[in-house]
Amino acid sequence: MSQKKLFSNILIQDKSIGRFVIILTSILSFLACCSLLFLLNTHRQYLDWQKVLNQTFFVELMPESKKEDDLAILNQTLQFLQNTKGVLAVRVIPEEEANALLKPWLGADEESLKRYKLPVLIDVTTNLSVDDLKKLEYSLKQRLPFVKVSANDAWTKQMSHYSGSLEFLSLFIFGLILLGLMIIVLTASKMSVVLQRHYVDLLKLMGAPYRFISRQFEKFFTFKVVIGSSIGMLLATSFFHFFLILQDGQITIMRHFLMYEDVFYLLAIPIFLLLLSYVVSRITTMHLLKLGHS
Amino acid sequence: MVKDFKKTIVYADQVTICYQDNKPILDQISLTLMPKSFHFVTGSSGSGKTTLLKMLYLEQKPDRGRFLLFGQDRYKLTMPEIQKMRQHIGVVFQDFRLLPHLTALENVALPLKIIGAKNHEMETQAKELLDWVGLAHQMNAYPHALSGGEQQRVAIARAIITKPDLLLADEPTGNVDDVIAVKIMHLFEELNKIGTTIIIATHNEAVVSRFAYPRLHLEKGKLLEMGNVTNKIEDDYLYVAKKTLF
Repeated sequence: MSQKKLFSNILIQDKSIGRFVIILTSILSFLACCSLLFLLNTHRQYLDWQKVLNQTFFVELMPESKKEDDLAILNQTLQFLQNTKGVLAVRVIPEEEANALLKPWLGADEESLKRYKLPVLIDVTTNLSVDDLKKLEYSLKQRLPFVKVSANDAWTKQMSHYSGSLEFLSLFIFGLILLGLMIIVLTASKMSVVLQRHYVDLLKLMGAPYRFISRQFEKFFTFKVVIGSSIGMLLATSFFHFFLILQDGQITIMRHFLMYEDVFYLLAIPIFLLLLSYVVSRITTMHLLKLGHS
Repeated sequence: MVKDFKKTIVYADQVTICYQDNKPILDQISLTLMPKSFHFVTGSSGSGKTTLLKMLYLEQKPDRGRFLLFGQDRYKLTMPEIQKMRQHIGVVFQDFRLLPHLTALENVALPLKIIGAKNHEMETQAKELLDWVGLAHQMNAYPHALSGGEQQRVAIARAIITKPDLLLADEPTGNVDDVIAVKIMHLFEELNKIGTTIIIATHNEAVVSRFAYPRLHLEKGKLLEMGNVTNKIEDDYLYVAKKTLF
């Protein structure tokens, strides 16, 4: 006669509580994956913008009293820039073009342009990293103190603040989702212990350590949370995959979503939720068992 | 002469347990039970038999008096110590308290699972015991499919599977016919022979008179009769023990 395996479950596990945990966990896991992907996308977008901004910058040469000095400084600057590794192109912006850049700022008062001596602008294109660009800026200023580098710092700062706020918001939402999951597991653990009080008491009378009893609940909840969070993760992945297909390769703000390494982050979510639910379930059941001890 | 007071299984001195309204359900009970003894606890309904058993399996704490189990002061026991101690106590509950979602085999094997026995060990011993109580054919049945008598036998098998040092049974023969009742009593006697202290709360006068073991008779929470409670020890044991302690 075939014998059933002993003790698949020592305590009765309420199916409706199990379903409740799976459904809510999958929703929360979906939202957690979305917020994580959004955070990653925002961060990458910021790095991308920063890179683009760093690729071009202006060097301004303030006019001196003597025309000969201006020319010497310009030549020195051009020579320095051209000999710097990572600088791809150096172009002195012609006066008309520089004036055209200023026109939108001056409006109708175009005549004032003629009254002032304007700086000479050098348009520099590089493939330098942010750190290397800072080094270039520093050494340029050391050699040629009259030179001013306009490296889009204001824009970079703005972008940094903007992306930082979005990243913080995503993290905050992620934290709220984790808190939601903790509340769900806590409530469900509590309900389970209360519903099975009779059997829990019996196990206690048989000398079962709290750890033994608590393990029966932990097993149940971690299993349900793993199922729920995996469903949520798969849904989120499918959702973004489908979204990207709709984008059809266009370069949009979404292009940093679902990159190869994101798979590891996404897989980390069910594992993290599992650990979290395990800890919450254990603390809750142990606390309830200790509260009810004789 | 036994002088080591720690060698007692149960020592109670002037123990009182009250209801919430302060009415005593056990009123100044004093008793000393030695290892390997066998006792009946008798008394009418509401006399305090079940409360006495509850106190013995550490579910109920005395409100007053001194109570030692396995030589250890009940009031000083920590929860892990209580859990460890309970693993040495087998209990047959009046209402059986079988887990309805576990088979008879699993119910019987449960105490072994709690103490961390291996699967094959649990299975072999549980099957042997179920066979012994005449339920080999029902080992895969769930409690709801068993009669009252069968459930009781499963509960008894569960209580004795770990060969406990102390076995407490609340009306263990209440739902079985005489043949099975005698068989169960013989099983308890066998356990007693291998060193288990047995305490049986019962209404069944026939069983009490057939098996000539000392009885603890309770009446309205008071222990009226102690029979030969301190059997297997010298007569002056109680005197010496009390003198040592107090």
